[in-house]
Amino acid sequence: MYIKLAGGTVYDPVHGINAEKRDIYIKDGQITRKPDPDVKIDRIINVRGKVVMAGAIDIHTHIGGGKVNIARVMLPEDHQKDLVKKTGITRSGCGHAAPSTMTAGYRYAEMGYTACFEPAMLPINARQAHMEMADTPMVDKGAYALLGSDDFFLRMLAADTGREAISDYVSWIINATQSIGVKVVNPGGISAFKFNQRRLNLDDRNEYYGVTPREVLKSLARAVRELGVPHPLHVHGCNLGVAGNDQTTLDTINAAEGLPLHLTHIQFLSYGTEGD
Amino acid sequence: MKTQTETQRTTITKEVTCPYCSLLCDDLVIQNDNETLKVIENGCHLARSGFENSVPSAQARIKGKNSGIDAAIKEAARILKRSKLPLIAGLGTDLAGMRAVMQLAEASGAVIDHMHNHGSVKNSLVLQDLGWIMTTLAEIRNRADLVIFAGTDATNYPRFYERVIHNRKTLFRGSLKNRQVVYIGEDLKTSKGRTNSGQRPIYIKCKQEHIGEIISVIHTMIVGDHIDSDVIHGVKLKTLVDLAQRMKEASYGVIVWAPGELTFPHAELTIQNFCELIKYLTRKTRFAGFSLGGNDGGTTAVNVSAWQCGYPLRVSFNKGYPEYDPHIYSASNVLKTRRVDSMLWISSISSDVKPPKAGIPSILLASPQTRIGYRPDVFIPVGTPGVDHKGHLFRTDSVVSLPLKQLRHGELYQVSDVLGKINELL
Repeated sequence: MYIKLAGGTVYDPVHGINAEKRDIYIKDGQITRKPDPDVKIDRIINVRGKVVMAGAIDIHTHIGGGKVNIARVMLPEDHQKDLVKKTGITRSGCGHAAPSTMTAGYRYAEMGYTACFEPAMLPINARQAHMEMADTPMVDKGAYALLGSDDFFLRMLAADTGREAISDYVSWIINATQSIGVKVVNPGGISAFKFNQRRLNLDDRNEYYGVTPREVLKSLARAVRELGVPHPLHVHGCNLGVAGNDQTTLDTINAAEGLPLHLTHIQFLSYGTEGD
Repeated sequence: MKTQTETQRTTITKEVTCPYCSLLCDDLVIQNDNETLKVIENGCHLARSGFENSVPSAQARIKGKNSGIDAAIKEAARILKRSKLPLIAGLGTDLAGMRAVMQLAEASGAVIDHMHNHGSVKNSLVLQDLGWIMTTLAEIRNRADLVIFAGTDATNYPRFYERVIHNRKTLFRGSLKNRQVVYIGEDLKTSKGRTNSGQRPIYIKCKQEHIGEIISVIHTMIVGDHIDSDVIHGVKLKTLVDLAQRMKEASYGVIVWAPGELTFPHAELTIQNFCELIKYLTRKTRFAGFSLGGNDGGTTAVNVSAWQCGYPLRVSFNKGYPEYDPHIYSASNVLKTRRVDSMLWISSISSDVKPPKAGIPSILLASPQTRIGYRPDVFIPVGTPGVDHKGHLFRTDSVVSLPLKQLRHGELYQVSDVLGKINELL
């Protein structure tokens, strides 16, 4: 199936194309070179006068779910600074720190994004995350399911239930929550705090389950890899914001023992101890 | 998981979610015998009364005369079109209904408020000013060793005790053995506060409006400061010393309140006292709050409003963007001060909620068994989510939303469809 985008103004920094009038050819969903003249073009889309560029993907943006909505309720004075009027084709809303869902979708599209991913979808709250994402127009959406402090998973890990059973559970969660990846936040740490444990370094044991963040990380990174989930385990590591956490991050990378990880908002997990 | 067996015209549906209070129990078994419903297993008296008294059809009416639904919808659209500032309230509907409300409110430049928001607004004010730490049903069930009911006894949420106080199964054994229930307030029914292990509840009697002060006294003592009186609003200080000690020693304490049952002025300040104490206790141990409320789609309405416009209801769309004021844009205030000149009121779940009588052109979307008490300009009967049509509702603790099943095929339109048709005609 061939599609031709005809007459657009193309921007492609990677290939040094800067505002050139060019046709773009797409074959079976992939951009390709101009075909031979005798090849049939199934569909021509006229994009004369329009910009043609690669859409951006935001792989970590809090666009939906209970905690985002709590933020919205907490910030009425912030919304006041950026109220958005409705138009003939767009809904009203508000922007700034915790935008309303329609405004978020429109603004992402205006900035040239085509896909956005909610990185912290609590399985029990997945319905709400999907509701809010469904009300985020124009961009494609997806979410990662939080499992690092999931009681069912931690029980399996503590009981040494085995790789296959854990993979089965992870795949069940991905399907049940309709997620596109798996996330850990302070792996095992959120669970530990429920037992009033106030600190959990990579090799500290959860007071109840007896498992370490290292074990949680390895187990989930391996399950995600073995299941063939395209996005690696999305990791918000331990000790976020704490001075000296650069070492924690290096230890975390080593803990994965070669399994792929996505280390997210790494700036806040890369502090040394210099300065005040 | 759907399980249905059919015998002639009788159907049995398992794992039914009950919409009749905000606990949204989802283990009911309902029988449909020729479109008459009966609760076969599980479900409390609210469920039985709700499912068994629900009516599958009724006539739309304009000024009391049967009109057919299309004419009623046209007339509703005419009223809204002519209106300078409509009020869309009640909001007793599901997720789809609430999405339609938001669209219609924006299109018609209306004010929106929910029938039970006089309760939940108190929670919103605390969340906005202080913040809070809240918990869920599962965490109470599995972890709580101290549960303090402040100003409520959860009577309006009948299966609360069965689900999270008297549970026999738990993930973490310790909480069940040592569980203790405490009540603070007046006219509270405390017999259900006796735990499985025989622990009798502690009942600290005081007037509702003094609960905040009692909590402040406890907070003061926990901080380490001295209280001069021996008796505070009829309560002996040593009773509060004892409770303060129990709170400090709890592994996972919970304060339960029902904002709609704290019926004195500025009850949000009392709720703020709860949350301040919870915050202080969290320095050393685990403590959290739990709010009982949000029936009739209340929690759903707050959530949908917040994500679609940024604010938890009490918004006016009259200027084309959301203007929020929890004091001015309450349904009762805009009706009392005659700011609004038309009203569209929705109630598709409970039948004992009374729509306000407004003295302005009124459109009522309500389930047939709703006791109205006056004759609105337009009456459109609507189905109940979880009975007449599928849908989703948010539970009282907000984190969890549940899918609702369709149990019968009557003739009632869904709220979302009616509002959608009205919107098209604007």
